Formats: sequence, structure tokens, C-alpha cells
Amino acid sequence: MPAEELVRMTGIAKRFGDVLALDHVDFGITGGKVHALLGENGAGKTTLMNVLYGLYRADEGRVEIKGKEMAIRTPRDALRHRIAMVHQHFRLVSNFTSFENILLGTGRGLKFEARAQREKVESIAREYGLSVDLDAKVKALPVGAQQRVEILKVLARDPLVLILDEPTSSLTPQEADVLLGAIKKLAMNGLGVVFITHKVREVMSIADEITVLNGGRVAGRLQVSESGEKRLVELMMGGRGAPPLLQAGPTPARTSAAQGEPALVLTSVSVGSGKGASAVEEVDLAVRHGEILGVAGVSGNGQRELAEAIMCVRRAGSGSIKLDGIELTRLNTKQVISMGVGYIPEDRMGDGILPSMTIAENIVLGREHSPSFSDRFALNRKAMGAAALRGVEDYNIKTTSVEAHAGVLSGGNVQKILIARAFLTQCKFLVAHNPTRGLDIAATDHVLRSLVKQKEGGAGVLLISEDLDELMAVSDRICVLFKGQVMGVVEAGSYDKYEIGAMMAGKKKEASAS
Amino acid sequence: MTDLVTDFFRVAVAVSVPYILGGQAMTISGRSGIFLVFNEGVMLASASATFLATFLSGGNIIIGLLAGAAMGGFFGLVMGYFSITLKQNQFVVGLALLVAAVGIANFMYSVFIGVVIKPPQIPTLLPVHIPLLSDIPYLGPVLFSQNLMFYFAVILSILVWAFLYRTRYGLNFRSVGENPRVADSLGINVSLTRYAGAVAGGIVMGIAGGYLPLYFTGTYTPSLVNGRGWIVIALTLFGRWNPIPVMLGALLFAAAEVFGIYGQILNLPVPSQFLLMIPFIVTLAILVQTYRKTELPEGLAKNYDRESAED
Amino acid sequence: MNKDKKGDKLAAQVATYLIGVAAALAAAGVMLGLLGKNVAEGYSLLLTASFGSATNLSLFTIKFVPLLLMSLAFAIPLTLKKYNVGNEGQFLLGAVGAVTVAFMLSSLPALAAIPLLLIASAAFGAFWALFPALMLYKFRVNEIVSTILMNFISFYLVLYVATGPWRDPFAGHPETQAIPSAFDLPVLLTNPAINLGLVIAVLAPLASYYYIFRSVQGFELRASGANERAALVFGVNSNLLAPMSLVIGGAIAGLAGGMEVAGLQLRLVDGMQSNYAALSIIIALIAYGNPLGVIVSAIFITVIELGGSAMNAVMGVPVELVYVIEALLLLFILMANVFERRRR
Repeated sequence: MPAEELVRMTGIAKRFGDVLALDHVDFGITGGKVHALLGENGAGKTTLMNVLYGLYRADEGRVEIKGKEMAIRTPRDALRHRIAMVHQHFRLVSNFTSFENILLGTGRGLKFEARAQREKVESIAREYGLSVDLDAKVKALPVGAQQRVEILKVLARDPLVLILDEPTSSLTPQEADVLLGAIKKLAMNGLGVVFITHKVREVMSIADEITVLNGGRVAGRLQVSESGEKRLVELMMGGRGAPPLLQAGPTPARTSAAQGEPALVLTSVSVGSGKGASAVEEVDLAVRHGEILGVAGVSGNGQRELAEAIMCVRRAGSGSIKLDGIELTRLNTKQVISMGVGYIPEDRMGDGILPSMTIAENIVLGREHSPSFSDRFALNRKAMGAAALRGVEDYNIKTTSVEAHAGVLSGGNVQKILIARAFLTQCKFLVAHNPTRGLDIAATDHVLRSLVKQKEGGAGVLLISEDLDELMAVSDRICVLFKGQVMGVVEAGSYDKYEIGAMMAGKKKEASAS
Repeated sequence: MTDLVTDFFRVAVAVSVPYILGGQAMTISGRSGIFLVFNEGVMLASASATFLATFLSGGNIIIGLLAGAAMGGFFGLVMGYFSITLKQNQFVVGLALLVAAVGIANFMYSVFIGVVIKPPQIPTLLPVHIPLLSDIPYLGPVLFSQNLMFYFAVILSILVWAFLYRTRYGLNFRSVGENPRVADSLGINVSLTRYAGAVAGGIVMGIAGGYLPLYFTGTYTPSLVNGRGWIVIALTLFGRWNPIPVMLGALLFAAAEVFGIYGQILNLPVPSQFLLMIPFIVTLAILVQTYRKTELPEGLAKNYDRESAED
Repeated sequence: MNKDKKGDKLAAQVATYLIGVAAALAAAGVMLGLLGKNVAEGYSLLLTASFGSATNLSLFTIKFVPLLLMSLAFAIPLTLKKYNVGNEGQFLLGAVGAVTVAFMLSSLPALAAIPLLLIASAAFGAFWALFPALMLYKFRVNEIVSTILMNFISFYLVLYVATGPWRDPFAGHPETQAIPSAFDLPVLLTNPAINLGLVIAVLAPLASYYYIFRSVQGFELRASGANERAALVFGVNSNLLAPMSLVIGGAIAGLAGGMEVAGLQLRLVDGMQSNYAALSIIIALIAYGNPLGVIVSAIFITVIELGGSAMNAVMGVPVELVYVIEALLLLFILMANVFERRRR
């Protein structure tokens, strides 16, 4: 079939305050092809697609649909032009059923004239292998199923253009393969697919055309046949610097880490989820001083509960958690922090930042009681300011003053504040949960190097991440969580992405000779 | 004795009307994400408007109720403007509007009536006996010999339920109260939906306020609402923002209120002041009992900004 | 350069307040005009009724002291976004506490009587806030609803005490007899009349400011207010601090009630809470809960209140007019703030 150009975006510019997020970008979408939009976090990929989807309004530029200029001001306009988008953070109403979510915003009838719709959804699900329980409430579904609901939701609207924003980020490698297969099939059926990602390998396996963005500009436009992984990375990075830790490949096997003293020891720890069933079940783990233990798993398999139980934000229902021989389960969070445990929480906006307080106050949070920042009653604001200034310099936080409010900072800078907070002093132990999410390559590299530095300073590090590449790059061992249970532990030097992926999907590690 | 019991329930049902209507008002607006805190004031402003309009129109109750509804709708609109368009904290705006509404209620009365020795009276609502049904023993006098506003309140509750849970519009409407970002990304107009919720809620709250002079006193007094605006909030939490449980819960809260009055008539050996505390104590007790289980619409009282950061 | 930016910010903040005040006063003028009153006379009464004579100044103090304390009772829990709309009931309980101590220990000498009365009123107010605080702590019951319900219970409690054994049978209104004179707050000045209450009311916001902005616990209150969950994750016990702040607020409101008895009414009177609670909420919200800002906004609201009474007495304007204006003032300031932020 002759390839038809469905969408042409010309000279798109978008500013957020003083920042030029998109600098006159051109982009086209053709039916029957998969277009990869590749770039680091913050390169402007999602912003560009949010403009096309009517969530953001461009300051300059024009959008043509099938050759005619169109103004897309709201998602409603985009949907009318049969442009659909699957966002990185699922856009689902968790208290509604899958089917209600799929139905949402589609009809105007007074009754649920839903039978035809339901049959249609079921047939789409069959065709693309996206099976899902239509009558279950979304909040009861695992992440993979939620994503299938999300995709069914947009496919039920008969889109011509389908935008997928980092769709594989919370899937196991096996699930990701299934999804990539479905995407290929969709393109074969004539859809124009936009695939937003920062993972070069995925691009190579699925895309027909690649547009690389860097700092809001198009850094390159190539056919997959004429590109290579190395060339793409260079374009993404804008030809900057040495290959970062992530590109250096998995950590080689090490013996030194295995000799450290045990730091954190978990013995048959179970943690409730607050909804009856326990989120962490009978977990045994030991992290030594001078070791990074990676925790892999699809999000929602007990990682958060595990981290919070160690920090005593949540009570372990049973079992024992010991740090250097001291039982933590009887302490409160304040005591755990003052023992020298640093914490980088997963949800930086929800669990991390105090937007209406100053950067200095944010950095000190958690240690306001310590004698370095207060006497018994009053704060020592001078000491707070000095410590914060050090953090701002060490982690290159972009601000005019430590007295500025944290709420005005970008996501990357917020993450740096949380890191500065965790590393206010050399830690005895560090719990880091997705510490690099949303950071660009340089910042990611900086964070990972900081983790390694803490480890080399003798800290035990528990690194929980959904990004397998990151885990394999810095962990001395990786343990895999599934439904709150440990599926197995893999040693550095013998990492196999597909073996770990199988464990992430619930397959216990075979009891091998070791 | 049976007479007394029947009578108790008959009065309780009549007293439940402002609770039912107020609860539906909270439910409608809450399902779109707007938390109405201003009820105690807005019910009073609407009571004042209803009283004045009825009085000035020579006793026309319909005009009176329309005036009360308009007053409530106006406050709903202002609530919407401040929370939806200006994105101000809903509790702060609600409390400010509450104070403004109390002021307006008394101000209007002062301007139109002023200080008089004998407050003017308006006609009150009369019971309507539904043929046949009202002859059923016990149930007839309790449920089928009520004033028209009671039937209105019940029908409205059922309509609100049908709208929210049996139509596509209702599904879209609720999605805005649950997760406005999702609704927005599917082309549902979040602002419009929330304005509709705020104004509709305000109108129904206004009718609830208008009922007070028309049933209880036949005149306006500044203490006419007497905590009902707050009890309505507790009631809606109790009813989980679902029209049918809210309607049934209203009867429970009304019964507590009437019990205090009947306690005095029965000469219970308790000081009358303590009997009058009963509805409030019962409400507190119910709050403690049900609060943990309460499921709020997830986006309730959270303002939505499309271009704000997501995670 | 940094200093300049800070100065600009402050100037912008002051400007938004001035715009809000101007808009509210303009609304007042329009309403006066619609009522067919002399607008200029109204303005001059509105702004001068508080000053100009020693008597006026005394009237100002009488209203200012309880309003200020009630506003602080609302402002301290507001630091962590808790709305203590129950300060009305806590005020009344403070008053009940004051008369209880005064009548039960009527033979005490003044030196012991006054501190005891103040402590008792604060304790009664705190006690009244303890119920909503416990409900918040144990069951996470929303404090707006629970504290308000406690208000209604307190109204009937006051009625019960005022018509009980201590009642004044000769008064036409439910109220108790006068408390023994040893319990009256010491008078510091007679013309204008100023007693110990004013001193306490001026010290309280300074202490509150220090507590909120300079102490470790204040830091934790503010952290919880900024992001409750984040504060919790980093060791701040928000679950305990929030109820505690309500109890502190209750103690301050109770103190206000006790001082109202010992300094002004000299007895428990049904309805003595006047409209303090509603006004205090407006005062505290105008100042965004900042105790120093509360001083300024409390002065302003008191001036308007007295102006309203003067307009009523001299020009026959309904007193409710100023009530509407005060609420409008808060709304206009919120609006001015939004537009100021959008302009930038």
C-alpha cells in the first residue's frame, strides 16, 4: 500500500518559562511505519507529542493532518483527528473497571449501549494478544495488565496515529517483546506509530524511521538500516564526553564485595500492603558493607513496601530487619535515619520534596534533630545553609540561592536535592529506589557514580530499580522480586537479561550448582 | 404509644428533607471533584432568599424556592470560579464563602425587613396525602403523607443515582472527580464538568436551605440552619458519595435530630441541653465508625492544572 | 541582586494586599451607595472609629485581643494544613473553665487566682480540641467536620452552665453571676482601658512566630504542611504533630475565652463568642497563617468591625454589611495573588 503522510509538524517551538523545550522541531508520521522518537530524558520527545495530542499548546509552528493545517488545542481535537496517545504514566481511573475505562469519553448515549463496544474490544484484544479482565477494577490489576487496558482503550477509538510513550519501561523483557510484536502488527495494518523511548536497543529492533532529539532540537533523522547503536548514542548525547557507566556494560564479577561485613540482614520479613494481602512475603536478604545489591522487578511487586519497611515508614508484619546487628523494626524512621541510613524514595514529588519550603530546608529534612543543625529547641539556620550550599555545589543543583523554594525546580533538580539529602553525610547504609528516573544521561551517570562512591566508602547499598541496564551496570548482585517474594539472586559476571526477565515474570531461579 | 412512634418517624422523614437534598448536593459536586464546605452559610443565605422571595411575592412558595436555588447556584458558581479557574484551595475558598453567605443572609433580611417586633410569617409546606398509599397502616402516614418536597428529594436522589451510574455522561462526569488528568486526556472537558458540578450542587444546596423556613419556622432566624450544613458533610462521608446510601443515611441523621426534641417532650430525666447535643454526638460517633472505610472520589478537593508536573 | 529580588517579592506581596483592600473598600462604597447612604461619611467612620479617642482605643482593644488569639488558634494548625474551625467551641470551653475555677475556688487570693484561671481556661480549651485530635490520630476523621460538631455541643454546654447553679437569676439572658473580683485580670491602664490581656495577646504571636519558624518542631510542622507524606517518610511524625497542633490551637482559643471572662464579661454569657470564630478564620487566612501577618490583618479587621458598628449607630447601616466586606476582602486578596503570579 502506498505510504500516506498522516501528520506533518513544522517548526514547533514550546517554552516553559525561560526554557526552550522545543526549538523549531519538524516531524512527520507516515501510515504503516513505526517512527522512533529517541532522546534522553528532557530532550523534548514527550513534549513534542503532547503538543500533537493537544495537551500542550505550541508557541510557534504548524500541524498538518493529511496535508491540511489543523489547530489541535485539546485532546478532544486530537481524538477527532484520530490521533491517540498511550502515556508513560497510565491514564486510568483506578476505581473504575477496565471496561469503564475503555468506554470513558467515547459515547454520549443515555444508556450503557455497550454491547457492541464490548464485542469490538474483545475482538481487538484477541487480534493483538492483549488479553485482560474487562470487569476487574483497574487498581486490582498488575502493571502489565493495566498497560494492556491502556492500549485497548486507545485502539477502541480506531486511531490512525498511535503514540506510545516509553511503553516498555515497566515491563519484563518478555512482556516487552510481546508488546513490540503487537506494535509491528499495528503498523502492518496501516497505523502510523510513534514510539518514544530512550533505549537505543529497542529502537533498533522495532523502528522503521528514527528521529533523534537532543536539547529540544532534532539531532538526526535516519532510517534504521543506516544507523547503528553507537551512532544513535552519539546523536542523543550531542557528541558529549566519555561513555557513561551505563554504556560500560555489566559489572564484572568481584570478590572484594563478598568479603565485607554484613550490614543489613532481613530474616523472613513480611510486610502488609494495607489491603489485606501482604506485599512482601518471607523475604531473606543480606547486604554487606561495600556492596550494591540490586533489586529487580516489575513495579508493584513489593519493592516500595520493602524499602519503606527498612526505613520504618511502614511496619514489617513479621520477621527481623537488622542493621549492624541492631533490630530496626522496633525503631521509628527518625531513629533509623540518625543511625546513618540514607533514603531516596521512589516517588520524588509525593514522598520526597517539600515544594513550599526552601532548598536548604529540603536538604536538611530528616536530620533537623541532629546536633549539627539544632540545639534541643531551636534550629541552627547558619549550619543548615552551609550544608545546603555544599549539597548544591556537589550535585550541581541549578538555583540562585539555597533560600529559593524547591517548588520551582525542574524534576531533575528535585531529584538532585533528594540525593543531596541522602548523602548529607557518609551513609552507613543507603536505600535508593529508582534514583535515576527522569534524569538525563549525564545526571544519571552522576547519581550512579555517587552510589558507587558511597559503596566504596563502606556503605551497604540497596538499589531498587526497574531499569535492568542500570542494575546490571552497578550492582554486585541482583535479587529479583515477584509478588513480594525473592525469585533468586544473580551474581555479577553472570547476568543474563532474559534469565532475570523470566524471574521478574515469576519463574524461580533454578537451583543451580552454586 | 404506637401513635407516638408513628409520629416520631413521620416527623423524622419530614426533617430528613434538607439532609437528603444537602447530601445529594455534596454528592453531585463531589463526584466532579468539588468539595462543598460552605453549606452552613449557603443554606442560610438560601433560607433568607426563599423567605424573602416568598414573603415579597405574597406567599408564593415556588418563587421562594427558585430564589433559594438561584442563591445556592450563585455561590456554586463563585466556588467554581475560585477553585477551577483560579485554582485556589477549596477549603479556604469554601470557608470564605461560608462567612460571606452568612453575612449576605442577615444583610438581606436587615435591608428588606429590618428590626420588627413581630417577624413576618410565610405559609409553610402542607402534607400531601397520596391516595391509597397513605392509608397503609404505619407506613402510610410516615412515607406517603409528607409534603411535596420530600417526594422531590427522593425522586432527585434516584435521578442523581441513575445519572451517575447508568449513563455515559455520568461515567464521564465521575471520571473528572476521580482522575481529572485521565478525563482530560480523553477529551472530557474537566473545567466545564466541574463548573456544572459546583453549580448544580449549589442549586440543590440552595433548595435544601429554602426548605428550612418553609417547614420549620415560617420565618427567618439567623440560627435556622443550626449545624445541618456540617452534618450534611458527615452524612455524605457516611454515604460514600453514593446517592442511595446518602438518602438512607439522611433518615438516620434526621432521626437523631428528632430524638433530641422528643426527649424533651417525653420528659426524660436529662437536661434539655444534653438532649439537643444528641444529633452532633451521634454524628461524631458515626464519623468514627465509618471514616476509615470511606471511599472518597480520588480527585476530590484537588484542583487540576493541565500543564503542572505529573509525578 | 538576591536582596533586590527579595525586596521585589515583598513589594509585590504588599501590592496584592493593597489591591485586595482597595477592591473590598470599593465594594463597600458601592453597597453603601445602593443603600442610599452617604458614601464619604461611611468611609470616614469605617476608618476612624477605632482611634481618635481613648474610649475608641479601649473599644479597639476589647475586640482586638480575642480576635488575635482566636486567629492564632486557627493559624498554628494551619501550618500543617489543618483547619481548626473549632476554635469557637474551644473559646467557650475556656470561658467555662474560667468560671468553674472562679466559683469553685472563690476564696483564692488574686496572686494565685489569676494564673490558675488562665491555666484552667487553656486546659479546658485544649481538652475540647483533644476529642477531634484523637479522632484525627486514631481514625483519620477530617478535623473540619469534627471540630465544628464540637462547637455545636459547646453551645449547649454553655447554655447548661449558664442556666445551672451559678446562674444570675436577675439577668434576662442565660448568664452566670459575676466571678469573684480576685479573678479579674489586672488593669494596667484605665484610660484607655488596658489590662493584662493585651500584653498576653501581643506576646502570643511573637512566641508563635518563633515556634513555627525558628524551632525544630516548627520546622517539622511546616514540613508536614508542605508535603505530609514526604515529611512522614523522612521521620517527621505528622500523624502525631497534626493532632498536637489542634490541641495547641485549642489551648490558645481557650485562653482567649478565659480572658474574655476575666477581662471583659466577668461572667459566662450565652453567645459571648460573638462572631470571633468566623473573623479569626478570615484574619488567619489573609495572613496565610503567618503569626506576624496575623497581627496586621487582625488590626485591620478590628478597625473594619468597629467602623461597621459606628456606621450602624450613626448612619443606620446594617452591621452585616461589614461581615460581607470582610469575606470579600479575603476573596479579593486571593484573586489579586493569582493575577500577580500570572503576570510574572
